[in-house]
This record gives sequence, C-alpha cells and structure tokens, in this order.
Amino acid sequence: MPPDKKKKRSRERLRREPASRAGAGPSPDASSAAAPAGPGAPAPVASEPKKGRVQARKGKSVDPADTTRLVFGLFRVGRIDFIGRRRLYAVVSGLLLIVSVLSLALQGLNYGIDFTGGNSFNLMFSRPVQEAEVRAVLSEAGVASAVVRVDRDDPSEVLLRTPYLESEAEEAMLATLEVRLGEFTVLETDVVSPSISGELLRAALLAILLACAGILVYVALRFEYRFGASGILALVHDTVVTLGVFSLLRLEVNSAFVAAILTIIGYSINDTIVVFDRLRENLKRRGKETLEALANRSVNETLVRSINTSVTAFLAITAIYLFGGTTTRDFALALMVGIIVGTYSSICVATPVWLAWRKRDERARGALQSRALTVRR
Amino acid sequence: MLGIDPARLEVAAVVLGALVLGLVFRARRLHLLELLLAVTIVLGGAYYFVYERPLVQDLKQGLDLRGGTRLVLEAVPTEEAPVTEERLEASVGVIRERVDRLGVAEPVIYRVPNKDRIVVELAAVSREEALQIVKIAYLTFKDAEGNVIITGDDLVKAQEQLTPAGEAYIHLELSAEAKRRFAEATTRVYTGQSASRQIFIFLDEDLVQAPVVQAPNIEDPIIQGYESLREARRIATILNIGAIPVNLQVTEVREISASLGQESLERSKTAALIGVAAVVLFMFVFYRGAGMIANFALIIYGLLVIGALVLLDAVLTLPGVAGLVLGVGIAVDANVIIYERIKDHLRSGRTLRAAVESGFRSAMRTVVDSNVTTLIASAVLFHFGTGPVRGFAVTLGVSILASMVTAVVFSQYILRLVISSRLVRKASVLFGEREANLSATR
Repeated sequence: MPPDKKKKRSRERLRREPASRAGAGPSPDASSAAAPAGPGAPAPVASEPKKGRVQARKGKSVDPADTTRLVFGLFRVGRIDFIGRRRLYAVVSGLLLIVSVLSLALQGLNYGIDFTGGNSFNLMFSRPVQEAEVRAVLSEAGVASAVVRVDRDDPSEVLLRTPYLESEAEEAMLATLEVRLGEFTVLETDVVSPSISGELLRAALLAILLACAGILVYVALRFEYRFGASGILALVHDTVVTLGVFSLLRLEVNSAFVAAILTIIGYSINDTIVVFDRLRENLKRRGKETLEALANRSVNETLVRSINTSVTAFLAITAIYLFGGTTTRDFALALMVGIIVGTYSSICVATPVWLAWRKRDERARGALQSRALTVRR
Repeated sequence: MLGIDPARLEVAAVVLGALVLGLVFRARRLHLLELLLAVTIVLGGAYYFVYERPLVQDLKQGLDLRGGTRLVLEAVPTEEAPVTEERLEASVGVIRERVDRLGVAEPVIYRVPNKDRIVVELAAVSREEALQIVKIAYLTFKDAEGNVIITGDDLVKAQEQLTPAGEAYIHLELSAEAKRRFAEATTRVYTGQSASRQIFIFLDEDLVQAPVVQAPNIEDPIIQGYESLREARRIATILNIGAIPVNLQVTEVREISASLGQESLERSKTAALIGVAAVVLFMFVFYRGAGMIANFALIIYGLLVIGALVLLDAVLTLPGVAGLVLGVGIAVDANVIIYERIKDHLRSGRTLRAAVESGFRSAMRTVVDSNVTTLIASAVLFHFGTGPVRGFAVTLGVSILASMVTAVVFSQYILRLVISSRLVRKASVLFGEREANLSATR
C-alpha cells in the first residue's frame, strides 16, 4: 500500500487535466478497474449533450470534472441552480416563519402537564366512548377545563388531561367516570404538581440555548464566524418551524418534545456542516469562479449525500411514527418535520445567508481597496 | 466477573486464534482469506451476543417499557424536620429498605443532584403501593394492650454496641421527658399489670421487635440478645430511620400499567425492525456492494451501542428506542459521506483503489466536524435533561460515537479488503452507478 500512496499524491496534482491521466494508470490493478468502462462510447453520448445544454443556458462553465448524473433514473442532480433561486427560498422561509410565529403568538403551544402541572390519564374503557359524553361526565364531576382525546384506532381508549387535582378530587372524578361510562382500566397516569413544572420548562429552554451556544463556538473555531452564525440561523429557522407545526396542529409539547427539538438542532447543524465543509474546501481552491457559482457547486456536490442521509433518517423515524404506538407518535412526528426542514434549511437558508454575508464583507473590502493609495516602502 | 469460567475461556481462545490467523493472512497478503475471516468473526460475534449470551437481556428497561410507577418527591422543610443532607440521605435509605422488603426487582431510587428531591422508580408496582412506601412511617413502642409508651420523636438515637464479653446490644437514648414515661411503663409491664412482659416496637403496622422487659423502672434502656453486632446494627438502623426523617411531598406520579408497557415494548420492536430493514434496503439499492458493507457494519454498530448502554448501566426508554432507530438512520450517514467522496474521486478519473484511499481521507474531516456538533447537543441534553430525556441523550450520544467508529474504522477496513482481495474489480459493482456515470469525463 505505501508505494501506492505516493503515486496517488502526484496524481492529485493532475486532477484538473483529465486527458493526461488516461495512460497514467499506476498499477495493472488500477487500469483493470478503469478498463471495463471501455472506450466510453455510450457514456459521453448519454451525458454530454445534457451537460452542454445546461452549460449553454447558464453561460458559464465551472468544473469539467463535475457532471450531472441521474439518481435512480429519476432525478438529475449536479447542476441545479439553488443559489439563483434564493429569493424564492427567502419567500418560502419567510412565509413558514411568519405562519409559525403567528400561530405561536396567537394560540401558543399546547403544553403537556410536564410544563403546566396537572393530571393525565390513559384509560381503556370496556366499550367505545365518545368525546362528548366523556366531556359531559367530566363537567358533571366538576372538572371543567379538561382535554379529552379518543384514540382514532381504538375508540375505547381515551386520553384525559386535567388541571392539577389533589388525590381526593382525582378519585372522585375517576369514580364518576366509572359510574357513568362503565368500568375501565388505567393504562397510564401522570401527575405533575405545578410547583415542579415551571422548573422543567426553564431547564428545557436553558438546554436548548446552551446547545446552540456550544455549537456556535465549535463551528466558529473550526470554520469562520460567518459559517457558525449562518448555521445557527438555519437551526433557529428549523426550531421555529417545528414549534410552529406543533402549535398549528395543537400537538402536545412535553419533555420528549424537548428531546426531539434538541435532536433536530443536532441534525440540522450536522446537515449544514457537511455543506459548509465543502464550501470551505472549495474556497481554498477558488479560481476565477464567482462566489455564487462556488456556493452553488458546493451545494450540488453534497446534494446526493444530503438527500440520502435525510431519506435513511426519515425512513427510520417514519417506522417509529407508523408502528411505534401512540406514546411516541408525536415525538416521531416532530423528528420527521425536523428532518425535512433541516435538510431544506442547510441548502436554502444557511448557504444563501452565508453567501450574502460574505459578499457584503467582500464588497466592503473591495470598496475600500478601490480608493486606496498604497504607501510605498 | 473474571472468575475462570470454561465457557469464557473457550471464547477467549477462539478470539485469540482468530486474531493470530488474521495476522498471518495479513503478513502473507492473503486478502481474500482475511476478508472471509473478518466476516466470520463479525457474524460469529453477532450470533454469540444474540443467541448464546443475549446482550439485550442485560439492558435495563424503563418503566414505559415494562410498566410500574415513578414518583418524584420533594423534601419540604418543617419546624420539626428541617431538610439537611443527612436527613435526605437517611430518607433514601429508609425508602430503599422498605422497597427491599417488598422484593421489587431492580428498583431505581436516587436523589436529584443539587435539589431536595428524590426519584423512586418501581417496576410492576401500582401507584397505591408506591405511595404507601414513601408515606411517613411512625415508630411506636406499645404495651400488650396497645397503649403507646413512646414514639419515634422521643427516641434521640439508637446505637448498637458491644459488651466487654463481646455480646451485641442496642442502647436507646431517650429524651428527658420520655425517660420518665419509659420508666413508669417498664415498672407497670414488669410487675404484671400488663398481659405480657414484652414491649412491642412497631413501624406503622409492622412489628419490628418485641423484647421482654427484664427489670422495673428502666430509664436508660438497652435491648440485648442479638447474635451479632451486624444484626444489632440492622435493628438500630430501623429504629433510627424507621420514620422518613423529612417531610416528603409527592410532586410527580407516573404510573404505566404492565399491559401498556408490554404493548409499547412489542410495538417498539416491530417499529425498530421495520425502520432498520428500510435503511438496509435503501443502502443496498443505492450503493450496492458498498451499501452492503455499510449494512454489514451496522451489525458492529448495533453490538457496540447495546454493549455501551449495558456498560453505562443506561435505562432503555421509549424515546430511547426511537433514538436508537433514528441512530441507525443517521449511522449510515458517515458511510454516505465517505461513499459520495469516493464516487467524486472516481468521477474525476482515479482508479478504484486510489479513489477509496483519498475518498476516506478527505471525508474524514467532514465526518468528524458534523458529528461533534451533534455530540455537543446530546451532551447538553444529558446534563440538563431528566428521566426519559436523559436516557434519550445517552442513546443518542452513544450511537453517534459508535457510528463514527464503525464507518471510519470498520467499513474502511472491509472495503479495502474487498478491493485488495480483487473480489470486486468494478467500481460499478461497489458503488451502484453505471460505469458510464463514474467515468463520464474520461
């Protein structure tokens, strides 16, 4: 293996000159790997005209090594103009954020008892019940503002959420339910006193803020501050949109949801970093390429990875959503939303924000330089 | 744990033998044999840890997977019972003692750091039973008629001691006012004014002991007749801390019926299986040969994660299972990043072997950077989370680390072997794209 290594390095320098490499296969093994492609008759025919057309339309050629390719024979990736559509993404993200913030402001979040205090019950009746009758019985028992949810799949299973009840009040309510609606088994009960709940919410918020701070510092150290800040912006975007979806759908926000949000933060930044890493790398070898073209190329180069990782993560969590039971359904849904938004934001939020920022800074520097008188020493 | 178990020796011998064989193959450049050996070891290991000595059985399950009750208790200071470090520790001890008497399997009882709070998790215990356990108990000394002589409040301290002859006894230190009452009572009991000459010591309804009074007018009592100092200490502990010494208020109660836990467990298993199968299928369809190597590495990943969780004594909760399954989806990410790099390098005209080498090298930094950020999130989650959230953080963190290790070390090793053994010579077989696509610029 060691002798091979040296040869490889020298070849790296030749990377940009495809023709000179044809005869440079260092070992018989290498040429045998390349040979089956044959003289490459079908290949250029298949991909060349397409490439030519795209290039002609864009009017600028970027990197001859970069080619469009079909994924699953369905999508052609490689030359999608993401950066050119950044205004569209700004509008889409803007709308998503506005709707989310409006919903959060107007109807807020549906906090579970972890954060508000209260009692929750998962009851299994011996017969199917209806939401209205449960509600009627509850108001008869003096429990006014209760949340009642009858399970879609099994209408004899009911989820109840009430304000905090002392144990006598709780027993009285359960007794009334039994008298009016028949026997039931208690699958799950949860009581959180209001004294502890405020603290849980504070701890959750603190955890999210600290996670962001930690990520920002790390990315700033490893990359540059513009990358760190753009990445954080993208993950704030993802968090707000996920919160917005939960607010719109009135899904319960509990401790598990906090875990989901933190996972989304981790996932979103992970996804963004991979794009940024390619950007950083391409920047080092930047020629005459404009920043836009370079950003676009970087996004395209990492696109297949972005899609594939999202698909595998999405497949896994969808299985939990579909087959994992009621308890983890909302949790899985949060993650599903987060994965989609996180993938979108890496490409369509983080990268354009970084680009705009960097361009502004470069323009400022350029403006200074254009009226500079250099002192001769 | 390290006792000489023949079965263990056998395993050690097999592992050692395989390693030696591997080194020989490596030295002789018998790549195909080395590959076969590696595959056999992984499959054998998987068989061993799934069927012979199932790792999953050592994994503790949370209450949401097996049913039970979780209580969060807050110590609230009162006049008589201020909240101190010792009193909190003692309270945990009392609760543990009571739980042990009930014979609950694997009880989890711990104090929340920096808080006057105790968490009790008991599997297969109903809410009523659990609340009973943490109820404040009263220590009472009664006569045969049930008249209370003294209570736990009168007992300053019970201390086990040894006589010069080496006989164990307990000295009961009573408050001044209680001494008078105790002296009167012993006189009454000793002189036969009671049905029995015994004094009955109760913890709530439970009889702890019933020693016989040996003399009248005892002000400073001792209880003797213990077989050992240890036994005396046990009883003294019960007398001392029989009552929970702080005022505990229940701030959180969570009960999950055993049937719901069972159902959750079953469903989680199904969901996990389907989720993993979907990921495996996707990787095969998209990356063919290399995808199968990534899938194969998932076996190692699974063993590493479950092994680490067992070692960390982590509790598997419902969100934790979701985290693990999501972890599998993300675990292949490192492989995806590496394979995409390799494909890039193939497209730019490198040979298969060179592209694999340089692809791994240049993908390395991306893999580390992207995963460290996620690790930061899971560390924060672990530090600030409670209960199930914390369990989730552990599984997330462990799965990130394990996926990095398997992708960077193991997949790379296997992929190199596959190539150097000449088992596969075409990039298209390994990376699932048409040769035309991989060599379009040539």
